[in-house]
Amino acid sequence: MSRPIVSDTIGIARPRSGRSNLLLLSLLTTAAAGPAAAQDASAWRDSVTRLTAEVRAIRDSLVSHDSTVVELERSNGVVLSATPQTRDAAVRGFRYFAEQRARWFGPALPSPGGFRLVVQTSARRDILARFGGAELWNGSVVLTGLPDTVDAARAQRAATEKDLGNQLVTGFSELMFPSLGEPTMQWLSDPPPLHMTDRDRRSTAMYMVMTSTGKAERGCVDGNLDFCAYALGLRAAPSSDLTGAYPLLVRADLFLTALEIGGPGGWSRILAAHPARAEEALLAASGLPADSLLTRWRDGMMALRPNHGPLESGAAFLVAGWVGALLLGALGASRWR
Amino acid sequence: MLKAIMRIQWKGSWHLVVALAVAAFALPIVSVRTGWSGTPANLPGFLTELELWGLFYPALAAVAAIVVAVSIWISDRRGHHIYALLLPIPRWRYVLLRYLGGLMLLLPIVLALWAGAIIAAASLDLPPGLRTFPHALAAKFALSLLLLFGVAFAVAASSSRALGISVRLLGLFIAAHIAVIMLRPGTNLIWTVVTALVTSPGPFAPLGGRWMLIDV
Repeated sequence: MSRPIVSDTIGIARPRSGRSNLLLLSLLTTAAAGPAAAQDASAWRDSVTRLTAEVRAIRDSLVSHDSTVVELERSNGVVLSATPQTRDAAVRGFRYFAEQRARWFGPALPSPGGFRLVVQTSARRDILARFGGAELWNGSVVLTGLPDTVDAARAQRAATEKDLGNQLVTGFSELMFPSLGEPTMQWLSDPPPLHMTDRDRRSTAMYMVMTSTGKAERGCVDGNLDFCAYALGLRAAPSSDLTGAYPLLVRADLFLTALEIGGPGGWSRILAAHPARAEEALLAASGLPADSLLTRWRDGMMALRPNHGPLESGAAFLVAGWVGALLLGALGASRWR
Repeated sequence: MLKAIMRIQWKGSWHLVVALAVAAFALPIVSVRTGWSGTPANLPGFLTELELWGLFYPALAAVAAIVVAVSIWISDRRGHHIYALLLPIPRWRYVLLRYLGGLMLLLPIVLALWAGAIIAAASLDLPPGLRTFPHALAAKFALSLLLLFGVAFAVAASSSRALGISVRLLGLFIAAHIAVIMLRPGTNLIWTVVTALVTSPGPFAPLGGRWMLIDV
């Protein structure tokens, strides 16, 4: 069934189909072409810029099913909108997003124009609803960072309802990543892995650190901070025979540790500092000198090592309790009939 | 009385216990020998391989627990428990003696694994940063074996009627799971129950985690 949608940009109703998109684009292009002949080059450029922005807005509008998306919540300059059937998942996801945003990004925005993150969601239908159509139903969740001008950073993602919060955070971190500046971006290579839980990320990084075998990496484990800085790609080698570099996830872990130490304003401080090197970004984020940060990070890694080996504390008591219960059950249940 | 019960059980299942003890002794040695190249060039790969080998420890504990529990009760089941009913002792005491006799059969298996872990750990020249945990591994294996033997023993000792009721309840639960998952696709009863069983304070929580003889 074709549902009409209303474009918030040009205020006309049109059926939602690939053919109508094409028609709409043709009309806009034709409309812009006539006046363009009488304009000079800069006016023509402005016109193209405006047209591009409008097309982008129309595309967002089409993707996000604007006719059914309604506003649900608004807090800290971010507006949550979603299709009605996605409402509960959207609110849950938004709470998780708000919590993670406050923790890692604070008030920082991907661009002065705000942002717009559109997530296509899907969920399985129950057996009764499946008689009426497809097994999956789809919805949309739109996260809008105000002021949401045509210059707003934009991204689209797809997610199941269960994974929605995680996808909102991941999408936002991808939008935020370019704001770090070229040196920090190059050093990190990828947006921070916020899709991983703290425990998983730290544990993986710890194993990477502890099992690396290069001279610099081993020196870092032994407590040499210059070797740590070299193995993390922060400084040049203190000696010419030094080899080894930690994997990128270890760098990301250090970066997130710096943000965590610095508190919610860490990301904003990086933006304000315009760091020329990754080390400066870490300094701005954590508020600590690089060596202090490296010491705290390394100590954290060492503390994560499994001190008791494979045996978890309290396992003996747990086993004793359950074995006692099972034995009592066996004594009572053995009426051999 | 305990000695007599132990002698009967040992006679009936010594060959199984020896086989399980040999497997327990070999497991740690084979696990480190297959992955260790003698150089620290690929430590993450070695530890990953060792972690995969670690899956065999709870598996071996499960096999040992089931085999010993079944071998303890098989003669009673064959004889319809007439021998037990003829003895001048209460039923609960007979079951307790059987249980203690079973624990004695598990002891050689645990000791074999402990010895194997110590030998395996001592045979490697590990780089700094890696540590060995033969005692903790053997202790974890012993606790897991004790727990799984408790479960297997309780099932093996129970009456046919109790087993029948348990099987029917299990079938009912699976039917309920299917109905719920069709009406509410996001709700998985089996997964919920399994999660409760394998996470603390669930009975199988001690089986989880990494079974690492060598770790960072």
